Amino acid sequence: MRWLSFFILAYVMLGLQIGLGSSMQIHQAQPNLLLLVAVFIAINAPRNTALAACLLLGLLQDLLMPGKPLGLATFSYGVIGMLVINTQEVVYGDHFLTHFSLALLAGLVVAVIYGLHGAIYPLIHRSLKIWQRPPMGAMMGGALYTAVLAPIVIFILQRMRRAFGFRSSRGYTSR
Amino acid sequence: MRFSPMLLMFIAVALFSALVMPPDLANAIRKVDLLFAPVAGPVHKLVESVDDHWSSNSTGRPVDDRTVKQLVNENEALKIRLATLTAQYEEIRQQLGEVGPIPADIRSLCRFISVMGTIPGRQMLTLEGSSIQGLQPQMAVLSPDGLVGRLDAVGLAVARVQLLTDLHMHVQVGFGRYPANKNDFVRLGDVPCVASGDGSGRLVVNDYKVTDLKANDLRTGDWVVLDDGDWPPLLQGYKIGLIEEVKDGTTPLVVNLIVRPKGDLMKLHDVMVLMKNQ
Repeated sequence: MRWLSFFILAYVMLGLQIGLGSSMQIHQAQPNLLLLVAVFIAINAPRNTALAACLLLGLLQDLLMPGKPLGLATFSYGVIGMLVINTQEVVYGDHFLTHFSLALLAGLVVAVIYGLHGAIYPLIHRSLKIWQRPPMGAMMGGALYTAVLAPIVIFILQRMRRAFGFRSSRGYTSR
Repeated sequence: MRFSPMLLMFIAVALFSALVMPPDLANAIRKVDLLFAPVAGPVHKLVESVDDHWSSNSTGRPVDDRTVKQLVNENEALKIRLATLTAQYEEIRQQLGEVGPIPADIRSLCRFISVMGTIPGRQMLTLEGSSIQGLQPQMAVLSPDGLVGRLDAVGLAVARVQLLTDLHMHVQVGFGRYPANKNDFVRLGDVPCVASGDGSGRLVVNDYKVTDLKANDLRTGDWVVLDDGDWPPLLQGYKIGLIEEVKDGTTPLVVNLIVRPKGDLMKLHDVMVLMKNQ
């Protein structure tokens, strides 16, 4: 994979995410554009490259989530990466339903991990006076919102796939 | 097929960090959102202009058969009516104890700056201001409706405001009221207490003594004002919000005061930064 292309994509998507801010918000649910990049990479790149890219995306997301301990998004994106990468050989990566379902799965996994973390973290840090549990309704809504956008965003990214120079794990050049 | 052990170890470290690292330590590391200003800024402007265009076009435009002269006359009449209504509005606002226009001495020290966006998950705004313009961390940020927050970080292209309603924001406050039929603002009590942002658009004064509540005769609708030595002297007594609710506290001897700023701070389009901290 061409890492320069990956970093440019991650930069643009994060910039879009910040710039769009609450403009794209519907009832507190916000789409997660970076998650779509993670799904796109996980569908196309070789296993270890895809997982490394997902972890980097998670780390970037972590750096932009004030109020949350560092590592939460990295872990979540790692889990998503492993899940989606394992589906590479059983799903048709160009179909919009694949994009929708994988993005929905990824969003729900993130919501569940954040929810569990929100419940466990204050038990570990009992001295913590202020701790806001993640709003699960908004996160689930965000997962659905992200999934709805997935066919459009990933379709565009799939058309740009050549710029990333993906090679599959099995050694041949991706379509 | 298996994944690289190094990557799996990285995931394990991330999980460990997520469970163990205190949020304050993590916040000290996070100063990177300013790097994304070259993309975030233009996108935000574009969204705003599209939004404005959309909202101006969304209402149907009826066919208008008035002549130019009629329109000019109507325009003049409307101008006069607007001026009258504005004057009446300001008078009523002051009678009701709402925030009046910003005093000229404060306004002259402020720089008007546009809001670029919000920070997901926090009560924070990004501004189209920079250190080149003289902005510095800890400078106070205001709006015509009251105090907004403080500059948290300032970069070369963008600055970040931590709103009063942010979860990690604490500020000392006092109380006040406009008695009925009087324009003079009366301070209630002289001992400041700490108000903390609740992360969802309000502030909370936790564990306020019931005896003080009764002694100061505090009730919903009273004003909460700044009374904090860490903020510029010029802003002491500046309005923050109204007491929205008095809730039971952790014991019968204390209550929690819920304070709501005038308007949604996360939806501000422009703010003013007080350029002098002293």
